[in-house]
Amino acid sequence: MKKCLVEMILSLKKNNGMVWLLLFLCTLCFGGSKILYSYTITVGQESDNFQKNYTEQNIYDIVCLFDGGYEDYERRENYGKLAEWNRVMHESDIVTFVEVNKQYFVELDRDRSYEGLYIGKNYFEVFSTDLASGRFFEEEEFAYEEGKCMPVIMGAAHQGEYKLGERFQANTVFFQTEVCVVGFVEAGEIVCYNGIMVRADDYVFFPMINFPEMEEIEEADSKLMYMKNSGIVKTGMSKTETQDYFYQVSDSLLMPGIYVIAGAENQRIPGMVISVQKIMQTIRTMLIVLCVIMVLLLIFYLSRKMKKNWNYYSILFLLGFSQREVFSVMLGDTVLLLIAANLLAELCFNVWVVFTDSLTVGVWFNILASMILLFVPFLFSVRSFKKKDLYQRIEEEGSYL
Amino acid sequence: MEIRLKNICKTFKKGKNTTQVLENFSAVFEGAKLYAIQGRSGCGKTTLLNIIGGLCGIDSGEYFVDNKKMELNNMSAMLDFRRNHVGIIVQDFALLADRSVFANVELPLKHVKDLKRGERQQMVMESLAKLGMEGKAKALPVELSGGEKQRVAIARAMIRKPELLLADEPTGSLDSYNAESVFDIMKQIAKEGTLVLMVTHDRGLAGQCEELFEMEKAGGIGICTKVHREG
Repeated sequence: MKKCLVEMILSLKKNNGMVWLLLFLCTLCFGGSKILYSYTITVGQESDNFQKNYTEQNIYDIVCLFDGGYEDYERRENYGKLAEWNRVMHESDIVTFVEVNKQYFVELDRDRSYEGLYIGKNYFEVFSTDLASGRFFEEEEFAYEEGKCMPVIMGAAHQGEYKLGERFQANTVFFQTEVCVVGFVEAGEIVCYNGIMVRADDYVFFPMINFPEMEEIEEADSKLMYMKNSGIVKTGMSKTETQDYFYQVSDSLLMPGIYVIAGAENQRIPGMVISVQKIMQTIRTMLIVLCVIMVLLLIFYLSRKMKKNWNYYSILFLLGFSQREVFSVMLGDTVLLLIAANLLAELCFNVWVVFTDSLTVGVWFNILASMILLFVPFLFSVRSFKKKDLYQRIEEEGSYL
Repeated sequence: MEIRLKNICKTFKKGKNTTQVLENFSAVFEGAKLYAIQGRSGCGKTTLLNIIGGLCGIDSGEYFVDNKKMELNNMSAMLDFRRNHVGIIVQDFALLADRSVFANVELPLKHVKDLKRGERQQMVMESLAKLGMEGKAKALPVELSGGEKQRVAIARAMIRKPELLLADEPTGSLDSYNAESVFDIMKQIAKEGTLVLMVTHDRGLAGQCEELFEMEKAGGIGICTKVHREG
């Protein structure tokens, strides 16, 4: 085997230009298809994460797509649109909109940071959350007043360290303020954040304060606007239908469709008319075309190599390499090429997974893709090799190697 | 070594055409001698060498090496025989143009297991030195003359000290000076105990061999019907 491996590597070195081209295209092929597959299953799993609540309705995560127009909404004229979106969503008969956003906060007295969930008025009602002690937030507590103590409801995990009625200073996402513990959630209660059902135990719940009046807008308020309009939506519609509804609302408000349903196939890319679905279809088609080109290129490469190297294969046969060994030398450098391409593709894929937090895909995918790509060229090589018996080539009198 | 062929028949098929090259061919080659095999083009000389070297099978007949029957159609068994007991040289040298002389000569040693690198190097250099080619170990074949190339090919064929050397027109591409030189090497190899079968068109060289076989074509097809042995 080692002797064949050496011959394969030497064979690769001989065909430099073509080898680099094939390596590049194969890497593109394998990496692209693996990324596409990963994206497909990630989106599919995200949709599986959404669980139906007791009333058999769907709960979808709302994602805000920052299209670089963040600063646009800091202008007063656009601020009103975001506030209007919030009002329309809350008044809708079609969907139940629930504000929820996760932000860390720092408890200054103990100098610790905790995961905070900033929630809308209907949050605990939608998830039928029970309290172990204390009370829920009251209506007026969602309107912030400077100097007024902000109420918090803590998860059961914090019960050992904090007491009902305890006050402390905290740096919240909005400002530094005094915070007062008004309740503790029952241990083991399940709530929803970002489309995932989580235990309430480890969280601290803050009221998502109302939009201030137009006259009182500060720059930091734009952050509040985005937080308030993200969250989850409960509805009987499908993701696609809900996404369509969202686009109807944004279109009617003359604002871009920056709020989308996570995993909806009819999402539009901000600033473009085309949907994610269309883009994925286009990429799929391009990859299929690339695969076909790769197969043809591999056949061409093998055919050219065999034609050029029959003498070389005959010499190997003469010197004691078996027909099988000669064949493995002939095909083996292509296999080595595919292995190298797979390794590079795997590297690119892993980088993509880290940055996008997508689902990983096993090595089986690489093996399957390689087999598909090599199947036809392999058949072609076997046929050509069998047609040209090495000993018959050697025996042609007067026309030796 | 003794090579015995009995009633060997061999045909080649190319598309719809069938060519019978050998029919009921029998011969004995024995001892550490230099045999010359002569005959017109197409009478089956190269086929004979290929059969003896285990490079191709036969349609019928028997083949014995040192009284042991060889399964010519068992490619695996013949491969083993060829690797360990046979050296082959051909008219056009069959050197790999992109490898050095050293790398070319080293090739047959790839089949030897557990051979250390140092041992391999030593064997190659010894084989080259025997033929006066140790100074050209790093050269490429394109840098060598015809005679030098054939010496390298002989060094490669003899590196594993085979008992049988098959030479198909070894002097066919050489001038008379180099041809004589290479022929002298073949005689020396035979003297040292190797059975050498050499196909040659050169009557002068054939006359210097210890044994001479003549092969003929008869009728419209290639059939070997006559074997002439001269003492």
